[in-house]
Amino acid sequence: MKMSDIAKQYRMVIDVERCIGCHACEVACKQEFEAPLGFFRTMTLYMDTGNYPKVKREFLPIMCRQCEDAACLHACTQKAIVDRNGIVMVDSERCNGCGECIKACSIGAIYVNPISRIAEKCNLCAHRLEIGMKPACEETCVSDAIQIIEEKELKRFANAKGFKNAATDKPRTLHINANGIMAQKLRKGHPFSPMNYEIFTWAVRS
Amino acid sequence: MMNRREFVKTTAVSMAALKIGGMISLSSDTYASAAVRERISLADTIESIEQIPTVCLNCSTVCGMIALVKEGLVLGVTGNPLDPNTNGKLCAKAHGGVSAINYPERLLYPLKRVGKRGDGLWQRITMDEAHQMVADRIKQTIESGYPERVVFHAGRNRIDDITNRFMDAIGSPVVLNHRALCSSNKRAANYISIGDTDWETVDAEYCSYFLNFGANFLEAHQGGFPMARRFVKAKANGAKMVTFDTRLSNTAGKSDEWLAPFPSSEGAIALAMAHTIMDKGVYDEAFIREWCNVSVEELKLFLAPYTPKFAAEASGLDANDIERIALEFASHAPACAAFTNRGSQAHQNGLNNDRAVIMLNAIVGSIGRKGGYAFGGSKSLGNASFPMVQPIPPKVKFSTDLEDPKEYPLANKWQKMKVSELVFEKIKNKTQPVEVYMSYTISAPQTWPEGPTVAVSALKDESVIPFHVCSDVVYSEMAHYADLILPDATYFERHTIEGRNANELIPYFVLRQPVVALTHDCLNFGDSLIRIGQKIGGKVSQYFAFDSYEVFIKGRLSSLPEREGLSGWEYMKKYGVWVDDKAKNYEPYRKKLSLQELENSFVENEIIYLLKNGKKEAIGRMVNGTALRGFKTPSRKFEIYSGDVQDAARKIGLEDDGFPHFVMPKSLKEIASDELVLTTFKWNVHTQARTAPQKYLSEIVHDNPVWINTQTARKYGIKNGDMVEITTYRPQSGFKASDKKMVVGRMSVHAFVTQGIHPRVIAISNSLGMNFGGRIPRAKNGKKQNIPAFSTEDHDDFKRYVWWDKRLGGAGNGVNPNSIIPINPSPLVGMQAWNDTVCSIRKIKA
Ligand code: SF4
Ligand code: SF4
Ligand code: SF4
Ligand code: SF4
Repeated sequence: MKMSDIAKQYRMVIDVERCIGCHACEVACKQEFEAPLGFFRTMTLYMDTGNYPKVKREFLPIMCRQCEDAACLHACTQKAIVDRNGIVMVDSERCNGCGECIKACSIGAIYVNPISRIAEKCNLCAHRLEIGMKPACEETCVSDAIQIIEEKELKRFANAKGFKNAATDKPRTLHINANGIMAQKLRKGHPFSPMNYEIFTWAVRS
Repeated sequence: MMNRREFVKTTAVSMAALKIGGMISLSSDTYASAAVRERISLADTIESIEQIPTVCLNCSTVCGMIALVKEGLVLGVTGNPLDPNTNGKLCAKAHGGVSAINYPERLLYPLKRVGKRGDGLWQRITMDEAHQMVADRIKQTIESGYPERVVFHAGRNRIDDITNRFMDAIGSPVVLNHRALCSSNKRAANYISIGDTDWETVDAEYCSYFLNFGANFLEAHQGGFPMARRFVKAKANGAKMVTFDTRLSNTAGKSDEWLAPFPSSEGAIALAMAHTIMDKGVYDEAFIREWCNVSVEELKLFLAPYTPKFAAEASGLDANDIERIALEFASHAPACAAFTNRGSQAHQNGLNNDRAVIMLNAIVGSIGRKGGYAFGGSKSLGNASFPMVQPIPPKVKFSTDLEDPKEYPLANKWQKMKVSELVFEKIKNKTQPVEVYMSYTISAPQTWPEGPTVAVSALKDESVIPFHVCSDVVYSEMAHYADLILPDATYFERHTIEGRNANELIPYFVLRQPVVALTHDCLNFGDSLIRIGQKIGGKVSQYFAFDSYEVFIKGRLSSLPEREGLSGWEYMKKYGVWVDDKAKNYEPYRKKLSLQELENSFVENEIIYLLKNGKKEAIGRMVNGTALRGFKTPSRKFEIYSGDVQDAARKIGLEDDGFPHFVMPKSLKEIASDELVLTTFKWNVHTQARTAPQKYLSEIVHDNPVWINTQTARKYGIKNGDMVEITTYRPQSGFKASDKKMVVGRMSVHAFVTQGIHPRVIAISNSLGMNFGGRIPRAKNGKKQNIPAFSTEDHDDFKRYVWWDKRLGGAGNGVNPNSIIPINPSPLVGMQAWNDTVCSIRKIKA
């Protein structure tokens, strides 16, 4: 069956409260796509808040938010980014690696693979969804923090919100209890930085 | 849907194989020429992927996993949903481990040392020659009349069915391990208290109050992963967790409360909590009366000095918090659990710290209860469940000082835990001469305290280790000091009967099976031992009258009953998991003994005994006229007082009344105000020594700066990233004790200034700072060295995209703190006191 034959509208919901920061989702994701070092479809961000002895650590799994009216889609010079079944995806046949999409995304969820010169980002593992499997990240997540649901089930998640980094963002992927301060680890126009893994970046910048 | 042509190009190196007899140098600078081929990712081929159940071994938790295979390549892994411990979930390490199979710097041929040991000059030989070499050496040693001069040393050895058989067959008792670097105080505390020989298994899914003393189960391995899964469920249902840890681990950071005690004071806190619970009368009187080996009055008497104020002084915490948490904990009984790990046990006083914590479960009556401190539901993987292939060599009846040092009388009392950290010192001193040293799944220069100094100097010295054969997958820190390297199978290419403590409290086991064929000369070490055993000949070879380790494992599984019309072997190959048809093992001590079990038994002082070979063996207890199994302790009760400990202490001239008293280690008690305590820890994406070469894991963690509290750093004028020199000192009690501030070593490392650590504590993680193993663990971009002992693969990633390479402005590959952590075995058990190191620091110019 082809994805386009399916009427389903997919949504990803991430419960940040459940996440234990184990990084399994992003390693599974990189293995799924043989992604190059230094580039990430998804990352688990860490943030320490508070002063000794009252300190907490928070996590945020973050990936492409499958935006409605997506900025990357509009920016694409080759019409290579399409929106189907609730998934904003890159058509690798059309993409010429120009990188305009990167400049448009407010969180940096898209990058151009330096080896294949094709843009890549989270596509909700469409290849898995179309054969009835769970995405690689959801499948491995020990805490069931990541879920793919259908749009019609959204009402079960009244407390889930889109993670925005620009007023115009219209994320369809939703987070439960995400801390907005995490946005300081993301930069518009720059793919997710591997430097987020360096522990020096864990503390909140004041 | 669009055509997914998201190929990642991978280069394969075309290279003439090293000829037999050809020589190579593993410090050469010559590079291979690369040819390009395309490689398919899982995403390209998921519909037609082959799924083969097997078992992960990227850490010791051995989670059931399904390999996703295409045309002889493992493209990825997923959890096996039938595994009752993990329900189809895998951690980051499992996914990262896939890269081990076609790792560009994987060893492919047996190599014989030709230069000086440690110079890295090697000659390729055949596997048959290699096995003959080892067989000849061992044969000579047996014939000399000293079989104990053949030493086997392993770390995470999961094939002890064949390694023990081998050592028994050649008649040597010297089987060394790494238990004392890992969990021996914790295990000893469990044996003493509940008599169980496995890790305890918090019934986490149903637990509503987690009282955590130094366990980083959301990150570190040792069985943490299945508990993490259950903890998240419990938390979603409202459970609370309080964590005592000197450092803000992910577990501490995810807790409802994090309290940072002074190192080693965990026992004082637990005793004060017990004191509070007894004092306020919120204990489980019936459990204590029925099941503990001391009365309520005796317990109160023992606990009298351990007030919250006492604990507050020892730990620096607030007495009110200690009291409050104790009462909260008790109010959740029996669905509450107090548990431990390296934070509490890796100290000189770790044994009693852990006994004190476990005791908390007894006094509130959560032992073995739903949601409580459970144990005993696991399957034994030994002869009783899976009979060894006949004939079985007789057990060796004598012991030597290497594997059984008498100055640590509890090290081998219940289980052979050994005192690993002393081994290289003893080898150097020739207390027990060595002829043949066989190493497997161990990387002592990396993971041993003083590994880079003491272990390396022993390994380098041909006069104390005349012959060293090492089986490994990569050219590791250990292989570098061998005389002969056997290229091993990865855990994707071999069999093992596996299982861990059953988190569902129902016995289960899993089968590891090869999911791809072995490449080049690589061979499972178990198979190497079989062939070596055959070549030794004489009496030894009769125990290896089978073709392969696979045949051996098949034989061991032949006693399994049929399921679904399949033989046990076929069933396991198809599903990978076996769960016994049994109920959850709650309160195993209350199980009634059957008439059959009671046959020929007799009762003395309410303890039921059998005579076995003329010796009394306790099998249970009479409780209100019923014969129950009880705990597997000498009294068949939960032992707060321990006669075993008292006897053992007496043997080495220590005063001990058998109760888990709190004594602060001398070094920490007398620490000067300008000194700090150096501790060490593990990350969620690494194990001790075997994951650094895995690119997706090292990409996440490759650097290990020293954690320093913000206030402390301010005192020293240290800012994030500044270089700090750490000077460590020998402990003031125990091994090589010195009151005179004897320096162990100095190390310069950059600082991570954080709110997440106790002001008197600094921490450097293990797992990093490798010297060997390829480009990834060394954080060095570049072409692969043209060394035909290595795999024919190469990846573009390794050439250009190791972004943490220092030459690209990255952080580099970290440091190995073991060069400055002293060998420090705790008394009685010999557990390495990792977290007791007194040190001083100063800021240095970059
Ligand atoms: S796998 Fe799950 S728990 Fe682990 S980091 Fe990802 S979202 Fe968090
Ligand atoms: S998150 Fe960024 S990459 Fe994803 S759809 Fe929105 S704009 Fe595009
Ligand atoms: S859904 Fe697939 S592509 Fe997206 S983050 Fe998860 S694993 Fe990666
Ligand atoms: S916890 Fe250990 S055994 Fe389990 S999946 Fe992770 S690495 Fe593998």
